[in-house]
Amino acid sequence: MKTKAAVYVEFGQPMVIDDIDIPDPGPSQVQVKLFASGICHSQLHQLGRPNSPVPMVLGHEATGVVTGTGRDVVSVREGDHVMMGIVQRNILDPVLPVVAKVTYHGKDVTFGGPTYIGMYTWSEHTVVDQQMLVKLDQDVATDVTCIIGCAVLAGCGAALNSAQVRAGQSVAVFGGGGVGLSIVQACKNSGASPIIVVDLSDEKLEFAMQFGATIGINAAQEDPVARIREIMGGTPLSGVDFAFDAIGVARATEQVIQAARGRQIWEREGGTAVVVGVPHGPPAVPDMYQIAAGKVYRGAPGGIGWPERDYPRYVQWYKEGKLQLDLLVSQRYTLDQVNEGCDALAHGQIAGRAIITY
Amino acid sequence: MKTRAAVYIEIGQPMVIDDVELPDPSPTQMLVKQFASGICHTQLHTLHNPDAKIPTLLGHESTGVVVSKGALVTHVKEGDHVMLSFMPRHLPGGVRPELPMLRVRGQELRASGASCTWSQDVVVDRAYVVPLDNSVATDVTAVIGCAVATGCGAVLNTARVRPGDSVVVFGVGGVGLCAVQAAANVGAGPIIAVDLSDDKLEYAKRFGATHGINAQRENAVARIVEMTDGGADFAFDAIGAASTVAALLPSVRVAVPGWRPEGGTAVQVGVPRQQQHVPVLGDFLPGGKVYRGTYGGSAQPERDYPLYVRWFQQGKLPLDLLVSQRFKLEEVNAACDALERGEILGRAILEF
Repeated sequence: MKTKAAVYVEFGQPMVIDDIDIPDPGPSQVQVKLFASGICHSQLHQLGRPNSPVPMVLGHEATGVVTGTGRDVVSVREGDHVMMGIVQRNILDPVLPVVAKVTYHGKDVTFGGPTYIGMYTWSEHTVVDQQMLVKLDQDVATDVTCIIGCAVLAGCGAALNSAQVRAGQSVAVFGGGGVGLSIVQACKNSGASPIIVVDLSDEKLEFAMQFGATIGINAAQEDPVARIREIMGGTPLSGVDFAFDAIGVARATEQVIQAARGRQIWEREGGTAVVVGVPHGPPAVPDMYQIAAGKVYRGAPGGIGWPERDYPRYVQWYKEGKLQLDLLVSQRYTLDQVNEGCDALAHGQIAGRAIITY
Repeated sequence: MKTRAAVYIEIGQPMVIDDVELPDPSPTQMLVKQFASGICHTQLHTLHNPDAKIPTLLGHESTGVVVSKGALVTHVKEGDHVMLSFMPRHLPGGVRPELPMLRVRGQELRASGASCTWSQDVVVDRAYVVPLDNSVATDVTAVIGCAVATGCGAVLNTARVRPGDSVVVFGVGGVGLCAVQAAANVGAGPIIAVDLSDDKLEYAKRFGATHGINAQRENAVARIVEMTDGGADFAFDAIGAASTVAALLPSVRVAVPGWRPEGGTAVQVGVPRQQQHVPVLGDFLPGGKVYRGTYGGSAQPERDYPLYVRWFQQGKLPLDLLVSQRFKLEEVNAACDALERGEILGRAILEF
């Protein structure tokens, strides 16, 4: 069938809103009519790469309703509300997702992100493998929950699954966007203190306070590493238990290991730097002496997320008021306005996360 | 008192054996007459550093006997055999070790920790001294304070390797062989040694290595990934060269959400000579891998060193094999040259 989508057809040009051809669901696939989909910084990277294969349809976190299923699909039925994201539902399932063949004017359409998941949600309908879907209770809002599949999965997961932050531990989060704020929220829920946020805009720092941040550092005005060390005691070993890089640029990746505290002589290790942001730009060069002195670098792609287990946990938090998705979703666009949404994100005008509603 | 020591007085020139004036021990210090001291690659870094502070004394692992001690030293007494290490014991109450002021060729020189053991006698703070039972050999145990503490400690304390874990060790010199042995002692396997010489790889098998990869002939990372079905649980870089730093993270496995929420762990044991511009993080942290250092094997000397002595007594840590060459203090330059040329199979020691 034909469905309206944001199609990236030429490098450097805006996406065009036009019909693409999506197939009938294959045996393991599901057709979903979308409610909403988030706009993620990694999509700006994909749009900014001269060698991104076109035509391309993006989008990797969304909510929708099942409108058709293949014959082998058992996990969802027509009419079910679903969430989808960047990680397959259960990675232990040995069956890989089957990627749908989508075309635009007869040409094969590519998708951003990991190619094997075949995820695209900046369209009114999508056909994806059932592996990519997790059911969402019918009584839960279907708009703001669309960002659970990437921003929340990666951010909260970095704190819960990777760092395993415990009550009383100190954290610093570099980058107060959708992912960073999710980290802040999960750290708050775990009882961490202080929760320091580093960003380049006072407005974002102020916004982060609403999610549980206790101290904001504007890195445009002061050296965040020096300030964190001062806050944490001002000794040569001072720093935080966990420093999160929710940006992915080399400077942040290099700073988080410096912001982590040093190892005391009776300890196994010092603080941990957790890298969540998708690396882009010139690669980070780690400070070997920081590592040799006993600090730890930890990678947390997608928050080491396990959707089948994690999405329901985050929905529960949302229902209990412990994950303020209504606040985190700060701007809304229609599919026709997708280029506007991307521009606003590129210009730092999105305080939390922007979504597209259909 | 005066003692004889190897003194590094001119950048790029051999050390000279000269008299050094030691102070009387302070209340927290003791005078130790030395039996033996190991030679570590770190010392070559100092000797090659164009900005090294001179004059300086080297050596940071040794054995000796306590000759006299200050009043506040209570964990050893005169006549006790001891191990000296660059890793301090934890002194309660945040008490800091007191470093002696030496006099070398008319210049005052503050000793750094126990880092001046290429000397017949040393004055050292209690923090750097661990008792050694007088019934134990005093020569080969000299390498416990650095090589063993770091290599075994990286496996036991830092990485916490468990039975069945797959382990890779890049560089099987003194530290690397200790890492191999500790991995073998906790039941890890396979234990893959990577080096540039077949002799060293063969030697490593006597310490428990199950496989050897000669990186001169083979692509080490590709072989490791193949042998471990996707990457090892742990990889240790006992060298710290640009090539080993770069190979370390690609050698360990990726994370599997839910099942194995963290990927393999890469442990940077060897400290690079200069800041290595190896942009490893952007490429490999996305696999959920862990990259950590190990300062001195995260050692707690009073807890760890007695274990290593027991292992030695039980035949589980063949220090007699690890200590492969012996030199006199006067031969210290020849010993360093041999290490530089890769002629030291395990660890060389100086005997006093």
